[in-house]
Amino acid sequence: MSIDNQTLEQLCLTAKLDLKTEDQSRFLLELESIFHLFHCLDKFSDIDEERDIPHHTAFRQDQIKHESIKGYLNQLAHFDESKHMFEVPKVIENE
Amino acid sequence: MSNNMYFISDYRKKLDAKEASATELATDLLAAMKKKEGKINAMITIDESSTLAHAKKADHMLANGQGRTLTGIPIVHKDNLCTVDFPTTAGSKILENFKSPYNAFVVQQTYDEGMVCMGKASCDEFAMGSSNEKSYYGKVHNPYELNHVPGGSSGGSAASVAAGYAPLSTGSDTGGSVRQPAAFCNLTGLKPTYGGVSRFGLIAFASSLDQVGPIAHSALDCGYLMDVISGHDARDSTSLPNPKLNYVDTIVNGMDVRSLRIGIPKQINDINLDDSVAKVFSDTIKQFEQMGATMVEVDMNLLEYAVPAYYIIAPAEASSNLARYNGALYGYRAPAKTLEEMYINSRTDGFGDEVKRRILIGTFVLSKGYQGAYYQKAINVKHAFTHQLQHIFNDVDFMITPTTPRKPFEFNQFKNPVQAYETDALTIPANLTGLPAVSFPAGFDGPLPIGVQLIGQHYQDHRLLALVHAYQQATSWHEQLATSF
Repeated sequence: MSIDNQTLEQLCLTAKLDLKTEDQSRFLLELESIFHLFHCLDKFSDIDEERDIPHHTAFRQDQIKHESIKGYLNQLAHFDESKHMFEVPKVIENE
Repeated sequence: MSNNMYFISDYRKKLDAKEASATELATDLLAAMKKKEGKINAMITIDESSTLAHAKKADHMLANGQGRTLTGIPIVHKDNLCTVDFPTTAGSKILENFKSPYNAFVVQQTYDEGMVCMGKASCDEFAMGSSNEKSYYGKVHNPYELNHVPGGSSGGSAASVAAGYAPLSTGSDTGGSVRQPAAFCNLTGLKPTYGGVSRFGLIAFASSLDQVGPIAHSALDCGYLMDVISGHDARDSTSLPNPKLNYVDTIVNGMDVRSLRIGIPKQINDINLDDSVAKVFSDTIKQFEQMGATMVEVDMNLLEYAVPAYYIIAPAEASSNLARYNGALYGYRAPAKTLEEMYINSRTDGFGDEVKRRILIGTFVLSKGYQGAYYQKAINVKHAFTHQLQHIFNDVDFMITPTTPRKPFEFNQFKNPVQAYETDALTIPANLTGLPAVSFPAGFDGPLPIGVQLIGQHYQDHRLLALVHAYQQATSWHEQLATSF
């Protein structure tokens, strides 16, 4: 993976950051070297298959119903003054 | 008076013999801090009135027979732990002058104990760094050699203890941020088992890795603080339900080192250690052998994946955790014409380069199309690594490594962030696996301290400290104090 100006601009847009023009090339170089570090993990895929890695931790984006969670929290969350925190019941029921 | 007092026992004796009140001790320390701070810059906030209020409360507790083990003992808190009476900045401009409406669990425990907070220690911005050069409030100097870094991110916490501002401090450790500065400042620092100390009120960096831990001159003093700050807290969903461990009792009762097997990962040979670090590590192994431990080689072949996996997982979590800093709710707000502009301007002006870099990495590795290639793979490494270390612990009681491959380095040493990241190679495994690990003083390269790390099994934190205590009974490295200021 190599990172270009367009990707960097897109990342900044998503992260709500605005790099100064003079900083962009430095950030590009630094990010490039960091992504190069990640290439070490390419070797890991072989090992991954040999090992019994639990798959229950895999992201299941399709199972997350954002709207129902937001609605649930808006309805039931309350601020507990004594604990200085929002409290929500532990079990989120199925729709 | 304060110049000769470094251990909790020094303070306890003075207080118990009524040779000095907590208020007198705090007043002396505040005066000494003001003199030394010009050279060290370990503190972001010193607030005399708040400190003296703590000391007065401690004196009241002692006078009324309500004193506890650490009542009247000074402590410094890392500035990413929320405090009501001191500002909490996390070393960032974006939280400049921020005052929390509540105390962190750890802070409240020390307040309830009657400890005296001497102020808030500097740290790398949002605990992201290994040198304390990344704080918005200026770099911190190592009390052992002023033109060298004190380590990071809890560099202010370590430097403040090494400089004698207090016998104890708190730090947070996401990838080595308690242990590495402890090693660089000739101190003992514990990263507890994940979930052993509540993260409630700790400003989040990478929530699945963050853990609060003590920094002190000795393992025994770390144990005293762990007895106060550890235990279950319902407000942290990852807090372990187990009962508290008895730290001081375990440490004082002693440990039979002769029955122990200590593992040495053979992959350490593949890491480019400084010569003096390699020498100190070798000497430490010999010392444990002389004490009767059996040293065995173990195979930790996933070690090479630790740094890349960590620098995917931690920035991924950081990019999410730091999304809340947008000028609307906390701290710094930049001038802007629209809401979107306010978000962007506040974050752009408020965050330093290292934080921006990690937010961008995190945003990238979680983005559509790359999540599987990076984040998911890093999570798989984390699981595999945990499994591997559990397997190793079937054969040994503890593992030993140098704390860092490098001795304390000079300022502006690294031209590329990856060079700095790679120095975390030996501390990261304990964070990825949630295991407890402790760094302790083990030797010097000239004036520069060098630390060695022991890693234990889950919830064996007290036994880790007991083993270090046994080592410190047989050696005197931890008693060699800083003299450069």
